[in-house]
Amino acid sequence: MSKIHFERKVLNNGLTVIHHSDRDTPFVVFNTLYKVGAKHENPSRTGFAHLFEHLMFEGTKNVPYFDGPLQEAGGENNAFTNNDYTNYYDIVPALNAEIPYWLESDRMQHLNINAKSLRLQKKVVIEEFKENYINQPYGDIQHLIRGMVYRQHPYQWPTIGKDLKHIQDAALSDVKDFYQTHYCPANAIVVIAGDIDCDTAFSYAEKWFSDIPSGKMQEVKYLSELPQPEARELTHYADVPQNMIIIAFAMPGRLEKGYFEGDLITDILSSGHSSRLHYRLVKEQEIFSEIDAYITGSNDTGMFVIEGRVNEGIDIQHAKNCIWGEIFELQKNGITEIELEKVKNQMLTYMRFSDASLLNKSISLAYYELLGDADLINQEASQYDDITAEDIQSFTQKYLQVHQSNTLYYLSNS
Amino acid sequence: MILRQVPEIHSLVVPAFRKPEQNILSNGLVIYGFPGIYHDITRVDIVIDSGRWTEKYPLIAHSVAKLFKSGTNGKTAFQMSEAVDHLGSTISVYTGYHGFNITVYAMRKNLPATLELMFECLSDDIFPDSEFENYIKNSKAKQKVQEEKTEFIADRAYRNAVFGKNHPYGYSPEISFIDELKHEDILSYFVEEVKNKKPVIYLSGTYDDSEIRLLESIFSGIDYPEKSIELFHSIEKNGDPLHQKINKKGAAQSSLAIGYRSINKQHPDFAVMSLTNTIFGGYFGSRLMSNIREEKGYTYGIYSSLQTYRHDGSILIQTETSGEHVDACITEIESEINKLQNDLIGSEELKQARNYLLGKYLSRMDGAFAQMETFKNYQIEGLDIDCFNKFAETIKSTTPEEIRNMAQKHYNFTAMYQIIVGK
Repeated sequence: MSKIHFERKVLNNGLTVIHHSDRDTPFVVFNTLYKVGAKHENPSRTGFAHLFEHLMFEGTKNVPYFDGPLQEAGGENNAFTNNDYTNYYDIVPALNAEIPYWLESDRMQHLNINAKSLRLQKKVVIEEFKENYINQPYGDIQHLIRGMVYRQHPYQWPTIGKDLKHIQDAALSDVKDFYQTHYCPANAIVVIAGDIDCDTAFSYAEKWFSDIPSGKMQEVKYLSELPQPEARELTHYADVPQNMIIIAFAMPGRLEKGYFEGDLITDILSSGHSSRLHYRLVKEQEIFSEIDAYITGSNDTGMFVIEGRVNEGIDIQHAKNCIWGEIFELQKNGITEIELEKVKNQMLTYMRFSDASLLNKSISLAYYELLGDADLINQEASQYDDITAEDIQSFTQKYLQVHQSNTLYYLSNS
Repeated sequence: MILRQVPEIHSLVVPAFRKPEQNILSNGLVIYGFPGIYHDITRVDIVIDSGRWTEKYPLIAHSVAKLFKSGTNGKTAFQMSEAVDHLGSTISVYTGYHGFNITVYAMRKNLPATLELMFECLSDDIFPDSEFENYIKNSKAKQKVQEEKTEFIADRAYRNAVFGKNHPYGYSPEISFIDELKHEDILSYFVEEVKNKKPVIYLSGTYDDSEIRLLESIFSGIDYPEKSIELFHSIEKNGDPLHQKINKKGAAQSSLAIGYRSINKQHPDFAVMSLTNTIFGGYFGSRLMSNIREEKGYTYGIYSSLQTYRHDGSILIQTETSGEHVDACITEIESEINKLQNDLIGSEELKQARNYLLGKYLSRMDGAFAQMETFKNYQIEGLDIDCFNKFAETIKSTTPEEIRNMAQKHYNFTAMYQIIVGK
């Protein structure tokens, strides 16, 4: 796979700036990652990092309407918050490459924080919460399952927040503190990628960002999850058409041994129609109408999740046993070399395809830099490739034991 | 202190659309090529002029797409999937309103084997009974979940009202449609509308002459009949009431769908209309978003879109909001339409929307895959790619008076359907 080349420069105030050149596109991406996510929140103010992300679009001292100049430049922007970090991106035609420097440096130090925008964005976020989590069938699964898997770690709530009330309660002083603490050069990573040369990219960075006071990098340590002594179960009833079963396990974090194994196992279980769970439990035995396995891919201890919608007339305990049958089979007999080759090939094609997008590349570079080194982007393929069938089997024996499981029975009221 | 000036915002230059390379196979099939180096990834799109438009009953084309890899005389569904998955390739099949699309992604070295598997399905699909039954069962389960979503119900009621619930543009899945699917209809649609109809091929990403020869060796043995006469569907005036309120027990929000039949891209007003609609509700900086989200906080998002098809079109305004804000949202939508019809837009706002839209045009030709997608979609909608260039040109010079005229001509609020789904 061809290497993704980049240059890195750290400004005097601690801001990390990364440049990647891609001359096949007429665009420039300006991506800013702040090292703050839902895990940094106060447990009684959950959802705050995401609410704050909304406030970042409410204008600054110099630019009252943030989106305006960017749209006028023919550009687009958006942002997302997850449990580990918050990411903002601007995509502009190359001839307007300097515009996002102006805008992003301005909102790194002069954000317009006021009661009116807070009041307004609380309302918007509450509607978002309702639209995506309350008004959707099965929309609260993440709330329930995170609460089961995590007893110590702040991953126990999703980024939207634990409760609508936490968002309603957010105060202006919280907003000011949060901005002061987390939104500063030392706590940010900027990636500039696309049709722009390195000298220009870095000299614009000096020009717009170097006089912003450094601030402090926030190194926060959390309690790690203790090993789970025994299986946990929860039954939840809702107005949904079908019963569902969700089984989740704690698994290694992004930089720990076992992470890539976990990722490949979920592909063996449910990626494509020839995958184990899909073929055996949806097609052959008709236990589930849909089934999926995935990992949450978080920096600290992550979740390995299997979830399936149980067909009418199938006993929920039987459905659960069928999933366990597949896990036991993996623990006992492992996988074939053919299966391993298959998921590696799928992963490789996926990664190459994903690299065709300038925005994906930019976000990945920033994310890997957060993990410690942007060059990890070039090592990922070999990390998957080095995995053996034995590694896969030992992961299932180490992390997918019954006593480590968290089972959510999500049952239909009718 | 560093001296800085606010950087100047440059007006966008949208270059003319790059015409594809064109190859014609010995049996007359046309291949459009969009070369670009992407880590040795090659994409092939096979498009057949059928889709929803030529099906006898709702969901037939969709079902054929879903069952495309369900088995041939030589391979079971499992063997077929395993063979494709093992190459790390994907063969995804979906039906649009007019195009039946088969998309193949592969690492270049695996393209020959992947295309062979795709062609085995295309020439030899048998749709086994067990696969069909399993598909019906799982589709119904999925549909029951859809029936719980207020935005799905609102969108369906809206389409039904505008085009009729049996029209290709007017229906959305229903349990009863799934119940009525017949195995033999699936098979005959496949034979008549997919297998034996002349496709158009789009090749993009990493390729050279050897891929053209590969396509020649796969497809040239077939003699396709010349294009058949295009069907005509009339719109049923089903007399759906203009205002509908559909009750959904326990809904935390209501979904709104407001709009009516309108123009498509073939209409001479389209370019100016698309800019008008962008200003009204087509992007984050639109009037609807600024007012109803950013000023009032009634919703997470509100959009107006022009839904254009080869033979028709519609305007759809849609949003989700808490029950207590429904009436206020509707009032604000109406007042934004009135403003657009009565007041001339300011030059700053016009410039912003125009450049935003031109940026979109630029991104539709950003790289080989995007170019291919844009070109293909224009062809499926029955348009020459020159229209793309003309639209961009027109948008560059649209005046405030033209915007106001468009709003007066095409946004008649009192004639619009209003669908509300919620508590």
